[in-house]
Amino acid sequence: MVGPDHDLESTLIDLTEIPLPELTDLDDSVLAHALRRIEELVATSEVSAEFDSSI
Amino acid sequence: MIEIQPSVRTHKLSGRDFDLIAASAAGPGTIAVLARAELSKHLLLLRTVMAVGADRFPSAYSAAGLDSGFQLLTDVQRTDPTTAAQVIGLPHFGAWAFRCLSGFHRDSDDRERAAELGRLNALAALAAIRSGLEARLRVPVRNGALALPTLGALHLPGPAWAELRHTPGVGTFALPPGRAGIRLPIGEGSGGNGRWSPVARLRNPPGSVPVEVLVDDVDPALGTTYRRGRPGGEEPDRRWRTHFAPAWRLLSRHHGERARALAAALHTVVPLAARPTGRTSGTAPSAFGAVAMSPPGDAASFAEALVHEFQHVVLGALNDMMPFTERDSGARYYAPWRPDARPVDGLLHGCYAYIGVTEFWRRVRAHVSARHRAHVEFARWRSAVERTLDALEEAEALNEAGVRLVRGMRASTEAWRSERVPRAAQRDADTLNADHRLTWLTSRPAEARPR
Repeated sequence: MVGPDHDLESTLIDLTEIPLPELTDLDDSVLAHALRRIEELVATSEVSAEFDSSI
Repeated sequence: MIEIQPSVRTHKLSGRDFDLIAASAAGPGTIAVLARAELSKHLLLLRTVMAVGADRFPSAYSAAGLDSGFQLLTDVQRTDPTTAAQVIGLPHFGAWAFRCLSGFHRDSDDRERAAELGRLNALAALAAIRSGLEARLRVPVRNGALALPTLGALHLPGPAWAELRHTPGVGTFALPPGRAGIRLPIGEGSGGNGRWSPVARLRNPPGSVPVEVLVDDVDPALGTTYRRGRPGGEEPDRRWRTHFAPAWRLLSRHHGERARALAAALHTVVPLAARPTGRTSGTAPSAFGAVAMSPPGDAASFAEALVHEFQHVVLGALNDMMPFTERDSGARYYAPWRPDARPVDGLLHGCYAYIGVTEFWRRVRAHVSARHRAHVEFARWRSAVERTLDALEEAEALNEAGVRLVRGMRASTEAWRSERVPRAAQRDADTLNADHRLTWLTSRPAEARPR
């Protein structure tokens, strides 16, 4: 179990410093896990399109 | 467990920030960490939309003029990276990208796809306007409205596209094909011969936590995300303004930490039509910073809905950074706020939202006019949350992060136990919970009843 002083690793790749032209040059293989996550998120978004106050 | 290549840097979250989120105590600093992760998500979405769009739908991609929008955004990033990041981080941006990606799977034609993709140009134009750069590019006109995210919409029946020109110091103009240019009175309130509908802004009343929230009923991506599209030209419902000031004052005075966090996370409210059964609200994981809700009936309900949806915004962003569960085991659970049985992920998100709701009523119940109702709300959701946490603690599908999250959620409720509630309010709360459970049980066959 990770303690309060330890960082938790995210599965989300950090692109916050990338120049936009380099964004399109990123290789699919580098982004493979992230792209899978995007697919999951898109699927999640579709499911949650049924909106209500109570999830 | 997903394996990540060592050369790729991923986002990190400190154990302290994680535990603050679990305890529903995230402040502006923790919200900023989540917002940064959401920025990466939006950039990844942008990259995916560009790659998939060019590869699979070259005609729509070309018709949308996506490269010109991307180039303009690149120019803004080069000269004003802060503004570029702010625009890419907007909920409008996330909603746009998700609409494109989900639209790639739908049966839509190239014209529709091009119009969807072309919204990037409107976002890029916004970035140029904000950073004082010149812009000249085509933007789509949907449902008779040319919408500029966060700014407003120009009523423009007829064309499917119009050129948008922005010249710093001169102004912003829409040029529909074959017609005279129309100046957009950005930042000047209503104008343009009644054609321009500015996005409404709600601001904190004097003496309360500073905040500015947009009430956006013109952005097509947010509108379709929430199934709420309406052309511009109508004045936004007055109830937003009427009830926002007292709602925000209530939060600022009695739930100040939450108000500060809300001010950091909440960017836009998307108005929804009320349902025949009453008010409704929701949050889409694709649009970090936006919440949707029907017009509020009173200040306390407005504040409650803001807190409720804020919880979803926060947990949704954390969930974007890391999963809380292993594969769906198929187990379904009773949720005291829903008519249907929920998977463990849904139960977790709902419970987290209702922890926020319960804490809200705990703090404000002595300070609102409808005190009986406030006591009932507190007592009802306190019981419901306790029961749900029992189920979550036994759920086998939670991973390490999920277990830690639930542990923090439980700890955040411990102070509730010693809180006294007037007998009549407790009785009404118990009746509401019992009725919900009974209705739920009798609405499904015995063999289909989950845990």
